Amino acid sequence: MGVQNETIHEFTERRYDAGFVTDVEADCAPPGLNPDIIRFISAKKDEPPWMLDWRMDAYAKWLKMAEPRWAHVTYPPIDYQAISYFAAPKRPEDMPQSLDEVDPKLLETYEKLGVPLHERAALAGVAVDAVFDSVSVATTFKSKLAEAGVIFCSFSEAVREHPELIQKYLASVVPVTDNYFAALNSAVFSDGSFVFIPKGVRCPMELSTYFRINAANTGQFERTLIVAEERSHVSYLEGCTAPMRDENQLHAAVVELVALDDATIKYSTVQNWYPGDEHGVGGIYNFVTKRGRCAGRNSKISWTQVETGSAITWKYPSCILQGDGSVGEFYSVALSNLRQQADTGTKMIHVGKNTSSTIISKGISAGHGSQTYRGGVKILKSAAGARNYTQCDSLLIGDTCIADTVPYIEVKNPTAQLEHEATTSKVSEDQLFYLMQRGLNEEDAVNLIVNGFCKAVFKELPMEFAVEAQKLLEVSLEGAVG
Amino acid sequence: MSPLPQLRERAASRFEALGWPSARSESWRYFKVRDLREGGFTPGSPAPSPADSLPAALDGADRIVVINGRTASGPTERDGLTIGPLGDSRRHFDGTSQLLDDAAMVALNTQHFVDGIAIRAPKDAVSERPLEIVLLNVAAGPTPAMASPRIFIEAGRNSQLDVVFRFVSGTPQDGPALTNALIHVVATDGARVRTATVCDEAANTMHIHTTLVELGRDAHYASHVVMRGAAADRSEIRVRLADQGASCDLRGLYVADGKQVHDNYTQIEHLAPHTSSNELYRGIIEDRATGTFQGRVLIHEGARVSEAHQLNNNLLLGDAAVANAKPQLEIDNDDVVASHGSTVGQLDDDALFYLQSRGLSYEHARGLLTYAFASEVLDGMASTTLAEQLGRELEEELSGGTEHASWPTEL
Repeated sequence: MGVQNETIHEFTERRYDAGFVTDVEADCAPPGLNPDIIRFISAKKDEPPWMLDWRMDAYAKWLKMAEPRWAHVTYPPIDYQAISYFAAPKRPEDMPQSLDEVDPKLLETYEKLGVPLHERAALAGVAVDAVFDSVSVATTFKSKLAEAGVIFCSFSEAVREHPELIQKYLASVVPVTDNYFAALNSAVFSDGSFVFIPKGVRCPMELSTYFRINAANTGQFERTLIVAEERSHVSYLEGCTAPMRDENQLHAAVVELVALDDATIKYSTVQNWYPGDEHGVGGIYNFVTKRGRCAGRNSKISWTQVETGSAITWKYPSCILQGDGSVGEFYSVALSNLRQQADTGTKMIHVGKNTSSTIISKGISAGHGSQTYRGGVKILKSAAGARNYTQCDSLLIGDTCIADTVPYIEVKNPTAQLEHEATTSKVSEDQLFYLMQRGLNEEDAVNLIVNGFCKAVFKELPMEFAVEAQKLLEVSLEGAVG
Repeated sequence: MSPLPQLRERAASRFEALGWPSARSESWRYFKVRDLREGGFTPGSPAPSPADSLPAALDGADRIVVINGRTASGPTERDGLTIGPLGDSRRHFDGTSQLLDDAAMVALNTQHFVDGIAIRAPKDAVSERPLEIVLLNVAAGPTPAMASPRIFIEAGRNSQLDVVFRFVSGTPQDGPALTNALIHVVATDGARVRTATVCDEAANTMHIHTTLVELGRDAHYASHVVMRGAAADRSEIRVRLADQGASCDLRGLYVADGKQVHDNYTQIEHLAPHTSSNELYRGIIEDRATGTFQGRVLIHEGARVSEAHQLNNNLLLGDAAVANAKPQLEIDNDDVVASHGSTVGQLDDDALFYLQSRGLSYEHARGLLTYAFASEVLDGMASTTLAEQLGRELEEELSGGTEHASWPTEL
């Protein structure tokens, strides 16, 4: 038991490796939220009047809404007037045209994160749209993408360059009044990514964005919009880290995906934001609305997420399966350690005929972590022949953690077939014993078991991400025996 | 001093504050809450016993008959059990008093119950036959009437006790009615209590029962709930596994057709080490009916080496039938094994084809398969006579009439 206790100790005491602050003077808005701030943000981003009107309208709606409280998370009330809603790197006028022009300190930041942008991008053939405190500072491989007709740019650029597309698809999946945080985001969103894949194009490379929250007391409010036209295909990767901060930081992003006939969107996330320390001080509040609409026939949206960071994670990447024969998928590994709280899961809303969805969720709860899987599968009356398979498993490490499972199943069509199963247990003593009597030491045995536990999700991740995700979990896996 | 007047007063003020359950309340969201709230139900008046509305007695035993929440007839003693009105003994109410705060229907029952029944099994008493309680709701006039039956069961150390509750309506049932029953079971160390609750009321009646169970060391509780009748049925069962080795087995079968709404909510709390729970709920939902199962399992921090399993299956047979399932596991402990499974689907086409290829009509094949789906739930019921009777009725009903109920003689 001695070795176990030690490794448990080591693991629960582990420091946040990405906790450092890059000294780039941020061009901050004063704290507080009022129409002037929204005008300030809009002006900073050189937005057309319709965009400002849209923001103001969202702000007016947000004022009338109340903060939701139903999630199984606890946190002190957020003072929305104490948050600064805009932080841009110092020189927005002379935005770098290529990676060489990027502030070396930014590059250093990525370096420390283990994301050597230029090398990695070149080696892996990944175009990275790096978002550093809300403003997109570098977009690579743009020309190669442009050749294929793919638009991959920052959201504010898209507002200027492709207003017709933005106007058509913005808030078409997540309406402004969808929820409190979506409305807030609509009013104050700072930047984000826009992806447009035209008809019949298979995006030549995997697209990737790294979000990183840096300045203290700044909320991060990205907006991502991905539109895949008929018969197109895109795989999008999102990675997130934030430096060590004592103040809790709010992150309220909105991600919208639209897939037309026969299009496929694969959206992968590795989220490693600062989780706070062992007393629950600091850390990110990650309140994100992610939703995809399979608008066309036989379209497909697949969410894969590995959530190991944030003090509080509250998000449900969802699919509206509208087109006949469309497919929704959700693969998730969520880990909560220290005093982290995660209330996460997915919603699959079946509207079209013969739609199908798969949900695989693996929750690992350790230390004083709290983990809730909350999922909804809705089969509407029109969804004849709908099919859903759900599996959500929780693994418990240590006797102070919490694991909840709250799936909602609502079926209104008699031709639907649904299967749902869930298990909660600690690492099986029998499996452990078997592996150890075959010669493995305890740690390797636990590693093997937990790796097996997450395998169904890891195999859905793009290769580079799978490696990173495994690395992220690795420390946690050590000594994972209670 | 009698605690009752004070308790009723508190219950009244609690109900006043809480109001009728609304769809905003998580566990009531699939129920016909509007019909309940706007039903205008007021406490019903006494009614004579319409002997012809009573179902045939099980095992020919004498039984308790409750009409509109008032005990009409029944033994005061049987197989060592003592049976009497609730009176004003504090112990008959203590276990439910903290529930008044958030459970509106418990508060409403506490406010309005008339005499109630207290059943006590002394230490080591083993009753051979199930005690049958028939609860009749007779709404004589056009005023929406509410009956509030209340039963308290206390099983002494190592005693064994089976109780059958049969909720029925008088014939003819003229006006709209509501049954709001409260059943409170306390099983002390080593006791074993089984209850079977059959909800078979008329189409103009709404039925709600709340069963509260407190289990001591190594005590066991088994419940069967069978829902067939009423415009809307709701069963809420809350079990507290309060001491080591306590266990429970909850089973439910809901057969809903027409526009019926059948709502099941269970909450099992594991509060001590080595406790275990098992649940099996199955729904057969036809026409435009709605069937719901919500099962909440809480394993508290000290409840080491606990086990909780839950299974919910639904057969959707009607074009506009709706099935809702919400299993909910809340675990604050690492040394547990918990699982839940849930399915919604139809009869297996291959099995249907096979049976038809052996000469069965489509209706008969369908009935047989549906019956097979349902019958497992009836296993281990508090009364085998009742289980057999329900099984026969179900088979008949599901195969669409008696002419299909027997195996064809010519193949």
